[in-house]
Amino acid sequence: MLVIRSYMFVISLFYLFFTPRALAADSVNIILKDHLFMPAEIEIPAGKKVRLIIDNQDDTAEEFDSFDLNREKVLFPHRKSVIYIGPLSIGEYRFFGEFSPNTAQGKVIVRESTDAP
Amino acid sequence: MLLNTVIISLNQFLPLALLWVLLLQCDIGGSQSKISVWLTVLYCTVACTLFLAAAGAISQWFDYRGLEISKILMLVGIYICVLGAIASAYGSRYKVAAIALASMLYLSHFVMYLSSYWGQDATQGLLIGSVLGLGICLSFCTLLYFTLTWFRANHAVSLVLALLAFHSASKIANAVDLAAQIDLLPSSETVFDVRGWLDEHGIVGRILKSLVGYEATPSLANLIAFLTSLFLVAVVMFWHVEKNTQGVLKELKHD
Repeated sequence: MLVIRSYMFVISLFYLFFTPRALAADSVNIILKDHLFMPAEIEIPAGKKVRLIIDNQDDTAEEFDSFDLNREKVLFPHRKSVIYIGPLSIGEYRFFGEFSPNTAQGKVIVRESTDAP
Repeated sequence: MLLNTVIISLNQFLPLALLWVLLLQCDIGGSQSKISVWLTVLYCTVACTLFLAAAGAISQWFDYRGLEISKILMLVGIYICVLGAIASAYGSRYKVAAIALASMLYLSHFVMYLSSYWGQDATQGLLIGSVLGLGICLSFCTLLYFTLTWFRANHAVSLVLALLAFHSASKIANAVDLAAQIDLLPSSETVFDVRGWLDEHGIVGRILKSLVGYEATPSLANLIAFLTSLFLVAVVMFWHVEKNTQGVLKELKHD
């Protein structure tokens, strides 16, 4: 019984915390089609949190994977997925599709400029 | 496709198989109760099938963050089940629940990959890759199982318990990473970077990551979560060892 109560408490905590933060970040749209990320390069400003919205238009699932960004997420076919990255320091951060690593590749370029999305 | 399938199958089978081996080998409190292999396989199959059927829809919940939230709950669930297996009198139930949750988490991912690419001129690569990955995983886990048996036979149960403690704590650290991925928790800075020494994406690094939650570049939140949950599981283990020892001493006094 104690275990079930603890579990319910954890679930309640998630419900409590997940909504307000979502509105704080800029968004970047990425399309996955024919096992290719489009655009394959995205630019974001340094020191800012960014919301990547990935639309998998393929008939197969894919996994967004990045060792540099420490991110990993399954992208279901014909569905959208969201991943938050940053705040990041200036540099290039590679990502790839784990299921099709030879074709699905891309990178996040973090620049100082303020006009990046 | 072949090499990719080997890597993906290893990544998904290894954490599940390691948890199973560690739970089979830990001998403390309620965890002394044995689990039925066939019943566990049945529960795993049902849990995995149900999750696969709903995963696509779940991923769209909570502003496209449903998948991470469900995974976080599974990871926390595994950790709680390990605590339950140690502390509760119904250890076997918690063990089965932990393995079923792990199969939902890891096995479903692999089945998703297989079902996506099956029949696209890649069936042979998928099949051979899966068999190779599963074979490597089973070989490693068999070796670990007998190594742990040897440790137990030579009065080194604490080493087995330490491995289980590290393994279960790594689930909470993973959950924290997932929470940062969907902005439930703020992303924190990397505390240290030992990729030059041992990369977690190399062979040894992957095994250590699956076994004891090795992270070459842990964030502060990840490290705090790992150490806190490690401390908690260690306290529960010590408490039960102490309780068992007192029980044995009492029985000896009665005799």
